[in-house]
Amino acid sequence: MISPREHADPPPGIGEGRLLPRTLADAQGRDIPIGDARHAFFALLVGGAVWEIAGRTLQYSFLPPLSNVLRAALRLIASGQILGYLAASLVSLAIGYGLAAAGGVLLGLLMGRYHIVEYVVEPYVGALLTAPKLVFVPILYAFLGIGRGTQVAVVFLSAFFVIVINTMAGIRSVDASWIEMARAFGAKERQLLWKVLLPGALPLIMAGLRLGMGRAVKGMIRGEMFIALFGMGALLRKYGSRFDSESVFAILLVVVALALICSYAVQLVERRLTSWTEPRP
Amino acid sequence: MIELRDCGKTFPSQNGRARVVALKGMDLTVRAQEFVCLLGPSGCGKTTLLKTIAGLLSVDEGEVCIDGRPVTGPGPDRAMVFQDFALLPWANVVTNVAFGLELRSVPRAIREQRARELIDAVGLAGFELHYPRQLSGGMQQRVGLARALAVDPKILLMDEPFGSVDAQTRRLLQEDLMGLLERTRKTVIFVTHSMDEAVRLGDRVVLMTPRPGRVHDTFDVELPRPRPPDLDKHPRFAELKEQLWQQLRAMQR
Repeated sequence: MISPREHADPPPGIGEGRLLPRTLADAQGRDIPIGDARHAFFALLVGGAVWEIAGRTLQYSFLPPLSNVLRAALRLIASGQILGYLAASLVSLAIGYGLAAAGGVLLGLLMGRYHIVEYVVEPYVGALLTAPKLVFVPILYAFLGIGRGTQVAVVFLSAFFVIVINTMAGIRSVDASWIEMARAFGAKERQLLWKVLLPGALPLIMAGLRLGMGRAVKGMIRGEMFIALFGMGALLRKYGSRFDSESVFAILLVVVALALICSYAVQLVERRLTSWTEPRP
Repeated sequence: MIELRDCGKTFPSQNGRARVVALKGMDLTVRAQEFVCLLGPSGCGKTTLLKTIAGLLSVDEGEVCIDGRPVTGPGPDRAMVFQDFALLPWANVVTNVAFGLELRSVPRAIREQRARELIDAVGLAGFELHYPRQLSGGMQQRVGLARALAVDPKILLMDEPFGSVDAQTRRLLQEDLMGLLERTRKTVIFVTHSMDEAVRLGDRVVLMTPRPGRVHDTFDVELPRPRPPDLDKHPRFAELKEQLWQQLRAMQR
C-alpha cells in the first residue's frame, strides 16, 4: 500500500494578523460576520436618531420625524393596505423574476455554448440590457392589457437580460481542460451540460441572478408607479399625490426592507451553491 | 495493440493564416501491456499524438487503430491523465474519482465503492471528502490517476502527468505508478520531456522530431522489471540517458 508522503499546504491565516477590527465589507463583500451585523445595527440607530432630531427641529413638511413615520407604517399595516398591496407586488415579482431566471439561464446557456445562437441574439440582448424597460409599457399595454400581465412583463424585462449576459459569460469561463477531460471519459453533450458546464458556470450565473433580483425589485416599483393600479409602487403614488409624506416614508421603509430581504435570500442560495470558489479553508 | 500508420495532422495557427504541421508521416505500433514513453522537444506533437489516440482529435492523413479497429472517438477502453490534472473543483475526491463511472451511468453506491478502493490504492485514504483546492499538486495528480484507473481501461494515456510537480514528489509518483501497474498491467503511452523519466518508466522510449512530429528513433530500455531501487547505478540506465541526450542535442542544433 502506498502512503501519501507529500502534504497539502498549511491553511493560510496563521500569522496574518488583522490590523483593524472587522469592518462592514469583507474581502469580497460576501461575509457578514456577527461583528458587522452589530456595526450595521449601530449605524441604523445613529441614522434613526439623526432623522428623529432633524424632523423635530426642522419641522419641514416633507421630512417628518421617524416616530411619525413608524406610526404611519403601523396605521397602514393595521388598515390592511400595506399587506394587500405588498402581496400584489410579491406576486408580480415572483412570477416575473421566476420567468426571467429560468428563461435567462436557458438563453444564456445556449448563447454560451452555441456560437450560432450568440451571433443571432447577442446584438438584441446587448441593446436591451441597458435600455430603460418602461419605454415598452405602452406596447405591453397593447398586448397584455393594463394590469397584471404588463406588470409581470416589466419585472421580467428588468431582470432577464443581465441574467442572460452573466450566464453566457459563465459558460464561456468554464475551464477548457474540464470539458476536454469529460469528453475523454466519454461524456455526451447532455452530460457535459449538466455535469461540467452548468456547475462550472454557477458562480457567474448566481452573480447574474443576484443582480437580476436587484433590477427586478426596481423594475417592479417603477412599473407599479407608472401603471398605478396595484402594488407598493401604486400605493406610493397614491400617498405621494396627497403629499402625505409620513405614509410615503413608511412605504419607502417597507420597500427598502423588501429589497434587502430578496437580495439576501439570493445571496444565501449563492453562498450555499458556490462555496467551492472561496479561498482555501 | 495500438497502430498508427502514416498519420498527419495540421492545425491553423493562431493568426489563422499560416498552418502548423503537428504530425506528418507518423508510424508507431504499441503492443498490448507495453509501456511506451514519448520523448521529444516541446512542440513536437506529443500531446497531439496522444489526443488522436484518445479520440479527442482526428487525423487528417493516415489511420489510428486499436486492436484493428479505427479510432472514431473516445471509448471505454482508454482513459487519460492530464498535465494540469483537470479535476472538478466543486466535487470532492470521491466524486472526482468516480466521475468516469458516473458518465457511464454506474449506480452511485457501486461507483463510490470503486472510487474508495482506488483512492486507497493511490495512497489518499483519509482524503475522500477533501476538495481539489485543499490538496497539493502531487495529491491532485493521484486523484487524476485514480480517476483514470477507476474505469479500468485497457489503455492508459498520460500527458506529461508529473510535469508540474517538484522533483521529489515526481519520483514518488513514478514509483507509485510502477507499483500500481505491477498489480494491473495496462498498455501505457506516457508523454514526457524528461529523459530520466522516460528511461525510468518505459519498456520503450520513442524519440520524436519537432515540427512536423514523427518518430526519430526508438530505444528498447531493457532494464529489469520491477525496476530495482538502485536503478541509478545501473550501467544501462546511464548509457541510455546519454544516448537520448546526444540525439536530442543533435536535433536541436
